[in-house]
Amino acid sequence: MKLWKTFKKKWSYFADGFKDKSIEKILQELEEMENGFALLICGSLIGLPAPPSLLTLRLLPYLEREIKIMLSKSIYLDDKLAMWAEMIEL
Amino acid sequence: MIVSLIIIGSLIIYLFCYRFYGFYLQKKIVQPSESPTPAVRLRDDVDFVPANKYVLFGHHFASIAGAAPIVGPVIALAWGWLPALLWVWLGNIFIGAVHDYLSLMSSVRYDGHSIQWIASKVIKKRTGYLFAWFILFVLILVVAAFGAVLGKIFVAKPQVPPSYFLQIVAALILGFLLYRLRISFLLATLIGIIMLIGAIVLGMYFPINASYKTWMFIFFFYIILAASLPVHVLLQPRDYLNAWLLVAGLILGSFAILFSFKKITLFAFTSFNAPLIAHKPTPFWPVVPLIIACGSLSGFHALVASGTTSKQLSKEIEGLFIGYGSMLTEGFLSTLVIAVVSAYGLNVLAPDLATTLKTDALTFAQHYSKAINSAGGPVGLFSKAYGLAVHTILGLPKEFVTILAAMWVASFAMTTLDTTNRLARYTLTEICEPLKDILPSIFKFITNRWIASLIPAIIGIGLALTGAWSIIWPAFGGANQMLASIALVTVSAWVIRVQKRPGLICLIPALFLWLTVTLAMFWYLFVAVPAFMIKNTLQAYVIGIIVVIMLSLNFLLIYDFFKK
Amino acid sequence: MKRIYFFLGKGGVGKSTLSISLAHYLWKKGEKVYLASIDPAHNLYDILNLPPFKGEKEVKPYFWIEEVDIDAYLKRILFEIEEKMRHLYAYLQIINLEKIFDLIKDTPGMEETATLFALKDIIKKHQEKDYIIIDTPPTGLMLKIFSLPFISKLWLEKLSKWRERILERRKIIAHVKGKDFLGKETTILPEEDKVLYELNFQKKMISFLIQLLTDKEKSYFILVINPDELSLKEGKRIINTLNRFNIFVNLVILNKAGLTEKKEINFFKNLPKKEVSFLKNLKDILNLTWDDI
Repeated sequence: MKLWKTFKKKWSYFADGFKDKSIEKILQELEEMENGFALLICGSLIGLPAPPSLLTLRLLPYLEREIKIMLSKSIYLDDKLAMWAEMIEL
Repeated sequence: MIVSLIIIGSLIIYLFCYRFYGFYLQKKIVQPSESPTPAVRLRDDVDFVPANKYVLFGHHFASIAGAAPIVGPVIALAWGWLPALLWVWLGNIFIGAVHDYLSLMSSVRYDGHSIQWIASKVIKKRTGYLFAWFILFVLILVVAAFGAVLGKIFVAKPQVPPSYFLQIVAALILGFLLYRLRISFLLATLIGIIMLIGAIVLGMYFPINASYKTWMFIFFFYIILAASLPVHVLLQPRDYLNAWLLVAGLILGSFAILFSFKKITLFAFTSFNAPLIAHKPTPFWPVVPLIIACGSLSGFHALVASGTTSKQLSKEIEGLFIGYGSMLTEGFLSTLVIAVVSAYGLNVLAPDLATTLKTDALTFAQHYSKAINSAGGPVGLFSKAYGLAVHTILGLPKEFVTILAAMWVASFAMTTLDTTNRLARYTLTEICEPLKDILPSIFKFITNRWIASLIPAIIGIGLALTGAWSIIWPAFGGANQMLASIALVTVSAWVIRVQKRPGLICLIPALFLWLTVTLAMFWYLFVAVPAFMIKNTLQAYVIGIIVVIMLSLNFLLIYDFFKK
Repeated sequence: MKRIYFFLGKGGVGKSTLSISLAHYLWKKGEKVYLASIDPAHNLYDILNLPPFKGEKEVKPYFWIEEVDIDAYLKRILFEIEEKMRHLYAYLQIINLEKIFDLIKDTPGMEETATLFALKDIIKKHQEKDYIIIDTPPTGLMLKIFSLPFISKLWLEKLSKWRERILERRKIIAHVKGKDFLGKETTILPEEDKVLYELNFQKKMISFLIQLLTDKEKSYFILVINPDELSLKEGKRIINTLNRFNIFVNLVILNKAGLTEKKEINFFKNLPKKEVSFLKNLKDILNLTWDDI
């Protein structure tokens, strides 16, 4: 019984890995899109010289995830090459 | 020498060195602590998510596995299977895997920042900038190298192109099913695998015959087109199918060779100066890293390790398994390739050619290039030998497995072709950044979306048009090894100056690598490029210029390293 | 609502005066009239000799006047947002919320957007009145307010499309990795996405306003000019700018006439004109007949 459990566990890692593989690039793209969206709307929060508009403010309460992503990505701006390097499969 | 011994031998040696040398590295240099990794500390469930070590291993290995560890070793067999194997084993254990592991761990210690960023902090700001130059050259040369090698197999074995294009269709359909219609993941996977098999079968019955130049033009348009498509249409589903091809290829191959008991028919050692490049005597040292390249060491792995993997490492102590371990696994893949071709290579060649090769070691060395060409380039020789091996041992239909092997390599290689274009667009912009204020109009021109896409594609395919894969491949290998060289030098700087640990264990390989690659590139510049110039003057100049720039930047790098 | 009148023109030409006149005239004929001033320099109550007030006031039965308090309007919107933010961003370290809002309140562009929202609210709220009359701010601010819906339209559409693409990708990932993979609060369905809802809300508001402003029957634009060169030139500018958005001035009133006529008047030859003399006191204003409208 325990053997079956460990087998199931190891198998779930395997399956998880394949599931990850099937969406990893879409996930990366999504995060970049959300980053861009946040930049357009409230880039002023990370110092972009774009004054926020009333639209920005009205959307602000709902853009938690996007702002988190924007703040995170703004720190790692110099690491873009490395982050996308793996898609080359060299 | 029975070929299965090679596989068993590699397993033993890798496991042994992982346990002793790897652990030694870990203890002496990295000294993993219990303190939380960036994945835990900076967790945002976006880029920073702690991952299970097996899942992360799989992900990292799949990212570093590609077509290069297969193509390189086939060419290197010109020196004999033993020297090639020794580099795949020792080069990997003492340089390659160290490079990967330490790139990963240094990034972990720097909040997940990339090796490029670390270089600018630990050595000099412009070192980070130099990275971008080497990356760009790798990207351009890999298009040339893979393009040439693929062109060769597409012409030699016309069943491969349709199989590959049907795979593209399969990927498009899979993407539609899984991402648009959102059918069950399991069902989509099964359909995908069935379509893959169907692609191979259909390819067998509907070969496409076209000239080499035609394929070059098709590749060119393919690169530009595929790099402009949204990610979920082709790139993502194709990536997913490739993962299954890798699994199938590895499993079938390992089992076939393990139970083979066939005797190796290639020579263990032919000559130190086997003429594998441009028919000129090529010294094993320092040129072997340029040939085997990713099979033993690859600069791109430093980017991958410090790109996403470092942000997902749950515990510092798992770094060895993932960084060091996955590179050794890639070495295992190259070992498999060497084994397959050493045992079955001669059997897939024309009988009179095989007889000539068997005469003696020196004759073998003389005629090996011709042999590879007759089989359809390195991919051709590999896939035919692989097909024969799996057919003989596991009983699967030979033609099917041969095309499977060719498609395995082709899929990865073609993926590289268009994804490098995507990266090159960005890299060009990064490199031209200083021009923004000085020459704004040129900056605007180069960083224009289409121009930035065309430049690497034109240069890459332009080089591949010559068909001289054996001359282009070492240039690509050299660029890649130089990239590894910067990474290793950066990591050494980190170990010595920041970690304040005895750094000889990585400084010695770093300097040895730097020296080896520099000498190899000089050899290439003075021996291979002039030979190239006889038939293809323009391309020879282009490659020559690229090599000269890389060498100059290489000296700048080592100067900056020691100046500090 | 039978019609909405807009009085446009340079500062000081007599917009407020004439708007009161029209409102009174219609009211005298038995219609329910709502007169609102979105001009920051409120002078409606001055002209009517009323004590200054802000907001709505029913000065006579079925005759309302509103001095729209844009400042208060903006403050209210910001306060609502602030409340929502405090609740949702409890653990996210954004710099001191109150301080940011003080800064943002004075950002260029806030005033006109808030005025646009206020205008829309007035129109929606008073649909059951017979006539709505709007006294607009001086040219610069007025043009900014009126062009806002047109230039925002494309921007909002693109943002919406981008948002939809983001949601599409989230759907794909949720399908393979499970709903909670991207975080429990992350919306996946367009119906549940508050951002898309807000964008669509703004798109609807803008479409509503654009439709109304370009409706030649429902909206009536009266340009008020004086017989001096500056006023004429500005009048031309107003007409040309509004034409670009398919808003057409229906009537030109030459107020404070009796002074030298200028040849620029010919520019307005295709529009119905009405000459109005200098209206001196309240009686004059209220007795003006608007028969040809």
